[in-house]
Amino acid sequence: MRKILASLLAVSAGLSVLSGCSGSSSSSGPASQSGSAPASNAPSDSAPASQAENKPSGERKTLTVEMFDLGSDSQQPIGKSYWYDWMQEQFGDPNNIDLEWMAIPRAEEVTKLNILMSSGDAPDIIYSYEISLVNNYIKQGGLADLTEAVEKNGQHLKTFLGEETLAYGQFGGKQYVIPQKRLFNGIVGSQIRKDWLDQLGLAVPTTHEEFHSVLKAFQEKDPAGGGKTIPWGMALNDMSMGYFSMQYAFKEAMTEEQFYTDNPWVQPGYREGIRFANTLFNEGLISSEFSLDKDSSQLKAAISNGQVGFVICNVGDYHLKSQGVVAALNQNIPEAEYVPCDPFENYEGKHPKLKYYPYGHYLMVPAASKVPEEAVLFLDWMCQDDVLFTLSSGFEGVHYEIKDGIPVDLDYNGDQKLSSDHNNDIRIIINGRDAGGFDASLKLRSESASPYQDFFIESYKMSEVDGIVDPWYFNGFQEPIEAEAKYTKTLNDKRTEMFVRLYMCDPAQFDATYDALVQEYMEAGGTEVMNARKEVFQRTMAK
Amino acid sequence: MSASDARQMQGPEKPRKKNIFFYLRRDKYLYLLLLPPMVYFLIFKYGPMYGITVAFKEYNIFKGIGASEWVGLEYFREVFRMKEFYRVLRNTLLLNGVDLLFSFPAPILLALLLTELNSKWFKRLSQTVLYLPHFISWVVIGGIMYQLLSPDSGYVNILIRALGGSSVPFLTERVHWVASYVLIGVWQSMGWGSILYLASITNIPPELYEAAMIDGASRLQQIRHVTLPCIRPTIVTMLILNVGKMMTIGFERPYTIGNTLVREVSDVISTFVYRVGLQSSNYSLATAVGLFQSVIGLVLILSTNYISQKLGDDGIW
Amino acid sequence: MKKTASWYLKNTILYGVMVILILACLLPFIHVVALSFSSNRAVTSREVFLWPVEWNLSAYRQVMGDASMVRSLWFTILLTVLYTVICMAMTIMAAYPLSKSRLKGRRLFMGLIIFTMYFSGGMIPDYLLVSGLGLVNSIWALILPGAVNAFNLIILRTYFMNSVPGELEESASLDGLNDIGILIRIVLPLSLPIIATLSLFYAVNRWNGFQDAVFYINDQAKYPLPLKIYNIIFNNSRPELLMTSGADATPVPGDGLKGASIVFSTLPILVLYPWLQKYFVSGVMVGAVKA
Repeated sequence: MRKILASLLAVSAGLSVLSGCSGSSSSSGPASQSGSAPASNAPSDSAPASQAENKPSGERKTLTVEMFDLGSDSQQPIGKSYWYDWMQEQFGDPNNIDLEWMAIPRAEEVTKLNILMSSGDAPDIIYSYEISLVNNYIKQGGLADLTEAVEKNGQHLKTFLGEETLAYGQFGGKQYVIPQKRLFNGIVGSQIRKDWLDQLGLAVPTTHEEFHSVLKAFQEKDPAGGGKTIPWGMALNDMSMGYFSMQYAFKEAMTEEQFYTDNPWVQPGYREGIRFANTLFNEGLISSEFSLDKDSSQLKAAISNGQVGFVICNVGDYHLKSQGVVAALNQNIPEAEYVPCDPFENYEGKHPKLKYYPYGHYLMVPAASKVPEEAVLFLDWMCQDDVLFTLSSGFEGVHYEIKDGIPVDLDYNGDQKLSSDHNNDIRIIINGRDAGGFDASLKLRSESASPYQDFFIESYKMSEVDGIVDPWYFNGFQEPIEAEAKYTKTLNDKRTEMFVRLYMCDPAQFDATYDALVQEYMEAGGTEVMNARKEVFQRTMAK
Repeated sequence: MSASDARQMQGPEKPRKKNIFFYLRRDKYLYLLLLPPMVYFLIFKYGPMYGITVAFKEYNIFKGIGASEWVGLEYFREVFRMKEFYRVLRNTLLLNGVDLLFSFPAPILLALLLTELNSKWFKRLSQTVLYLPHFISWVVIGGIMYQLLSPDSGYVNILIRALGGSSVPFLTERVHWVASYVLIGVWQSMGWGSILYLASITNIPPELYEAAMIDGASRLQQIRHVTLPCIRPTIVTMLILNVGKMMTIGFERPYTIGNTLVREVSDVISTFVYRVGLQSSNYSLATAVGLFQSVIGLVLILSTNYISQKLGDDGIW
Repeated sequence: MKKTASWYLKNTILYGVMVILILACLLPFIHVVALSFSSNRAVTSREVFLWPVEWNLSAYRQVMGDASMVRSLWFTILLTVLYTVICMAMTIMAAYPLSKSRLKGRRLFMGLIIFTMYFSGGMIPDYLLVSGLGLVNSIWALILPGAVNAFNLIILRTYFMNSVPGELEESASLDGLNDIGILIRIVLPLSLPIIATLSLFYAVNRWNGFQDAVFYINDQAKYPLPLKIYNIIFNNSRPELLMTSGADATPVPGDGLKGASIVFSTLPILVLYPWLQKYFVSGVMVGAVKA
């Protein structure tokens, strides 16, 4: 029965695409889809044409694709559920390719990938978030050069990603990586308790002096009661400690070279940012045991019990929604309300904060793969508007209906159920759901934050204001730097230790401690990394 | 002395030379029994043994181990140059040493205590309950311990302050942390560890106790003169095996119980290798450190074995 | 037995200490079980101590409700049983000959074995071997590579050397039994406690271990249960993962699920141990020695 339905769908899909698209949402049950995308996304009529051109004759090839096993029950069985069949029918069969899927547990992806690569058993399409892994593979000659394959089979990819993003995947002039497109680049979401501000008659702070006074007021007036107020809730992770926002605000003007090659500790003004945190901590305005809260469980409990005034989280995971904190807070303290708050301004009055590069994970093809062209063809197929739209929303009338120009989910639980996050795991070429245009996509994304859509939109917009793509956090140069591969993890660990020590030390000892720790940092590999970066920077600039 | 040995001695004209075939014939069943396990070791342990050479090579996972470039002792030199390495080495030995001091005797004492219990059902209950901590994953144990022992929010410290004292930095000050680390280790492993000793104690012939009682020995004396000597081989074997493990240390316990404030003592070889070797995909370095640990470990176990044999035990070799 | 004052004192101290130990071991476990039966809200807000708050079976539903979980459970049981039997057999087959001082080459064999306790090829050569033998994705990849634990072997060998009296073996030999017969008829029945113990060790290790499955098993259907549970808990909840992938508020399993996974991992022991306890019986020497 399933098979018949599937082939009916395939046939009608083919028909509707071939007949060009009307853009209207006519539906006759599950038989119609793709092409009912919102108006701004005219489905490419060239799609069937180019695929027909590329239709190979000859032997059937096999293309194995990696798939992260998320271990969640919302993820549909890899390789064995409807959408995998759909991809086989839509892409595999017309192109004489058998699609196969290899599940790789997310938590062990680097180790498992290394093992598979070493034994030649790796899938044809692999991906990872770790730039160090990518650099390693390139250095050791393990990746296929996709330049020609992209020329031949990647026309849609070029349009979809754009020259700039595609260039991020070029190392030494060769296309070793196809970067995943990232729709949403904002990272930092900081928020503050509006109900407390209202209670105390305060405005949302926009400078760090105001911020300081507000925190003090929280401490004095104790809105949470019982002395349990925590003005700034902090846990032991970079985001929470202000590494991605607060520290940037204190940095002063610097040369381009300093920006690219000096590590943050020696960049002008950084010290003052840390000092500010030290002041706050010593005044008791920050979670006293943040240094012990490795998994944020203490912070979670504190937020859930309504004790936290200000907190910095990943904007997509506002006050730790994914960990059940929002739900718990609503039940425990229904009147609690957070609003976005960005109180760290710099010398120019801007609010700099870290932003993502416009790409997500790195898609690669192992050098040992026998089907690099087919791999690129697959990615090229997937990034077409209509294909992506169907993958991310399903079939109109079945999975969604259009309201206000965006697809709104219907309650569907059948065989054709979309995998977690609207097939986010399957759509390896894009991170995020495209609803045709940024505002529409943001609106669409905010739906998953219901009933906090407005909060989410405002928070997200704030996260992109004055966003900086920091070459220290993401790969700044398109070539692997040996010293970084060697020392990054150690230095990151050291950085965490430095934060803890510097936030918590006696203010009188601050400068001495700062200097001593920076010295340690440099000796642990900091100097070598800086020098290596300078060398690359000067070489790149000389061109 | 086995029967076959006896026969051999009584045999009239046994040929003087004892070549290998003689032994193979005489003990053929023993060798037969030994065959499958030795084949196992050969294939699964010695087969991949060439991987050790990764410590001496610039390992390229695509070229494979064989074709990767030979760099000799370079990675060893690199490791020995790192100040960090000596710190983690010191910490590993420190933690393992203190552990040995407390975690080793604890299961033995527990086994002795358990055998002293008169009530059968209580004994059963205890045994069943005492090994439960072994099954709680370290991540969860870490979470529980922090909830109990944190300086401000930990329940134990709340209690202490309520009683008029001041917070004890169980997990945030170095010396306290080492003590906590060891005690938590004892708590986690003593129940499970006692199972082996209990099994050994079970095997002691009751007649020996009866004889001792007839001689007027108190319970304590019985333990000293009957129980302990009888389980001595087990204790010695375990001791040798544990000393042999002094250079290695599990990853999970220091990682989950440790924190940034006590990093100076909680950072050990395993966390070091994880960070510097595996997370950076630097297999050569990781293997070099592993090799270093192995060599030292082997030396330790052989020396301990030698000493124990000199003291009259069988040892393990 | 005379119940003197010292007897009461001794017993009070003894039982007192035991009770403290029992509580120390039991209470954390009860806490974990309570977490597993509590609602997410209560767990996140840290309201759960020794009793479930807002009784809730969702953690267990997540672990057991999935058909694939139940399949995985049966697979894991099969795996554990197979593993324990094979490992125990192999260990006995090695320990017994090596416990005989008359065995020529004994030191050589022991040396070879001890060496492997310290030196091993590493993850990748191990994988290459398993892959080369065609075992990847098969149940044997989870059994064969670990078939003999040198540690257990040494313990068993020590036991054989010290706890089985030579006279018994002699008399059996005179009765015409060969070495294998002696092993099976005489030695093993006398070694039940240690065999039960080591079997328990093997079984528990296999039941809870999943590191090897990460490398050797690609088919989700053949994941041992602990691996599936580990994936549920950790594939989504590492802070770094959340950071780099910009994860968008996909619900992350809480401590309640961790609790359920611990309960699961303890189950086989709670089931097996009482059953095995009957082998920890003395009376070993009764009727064994012929007059």
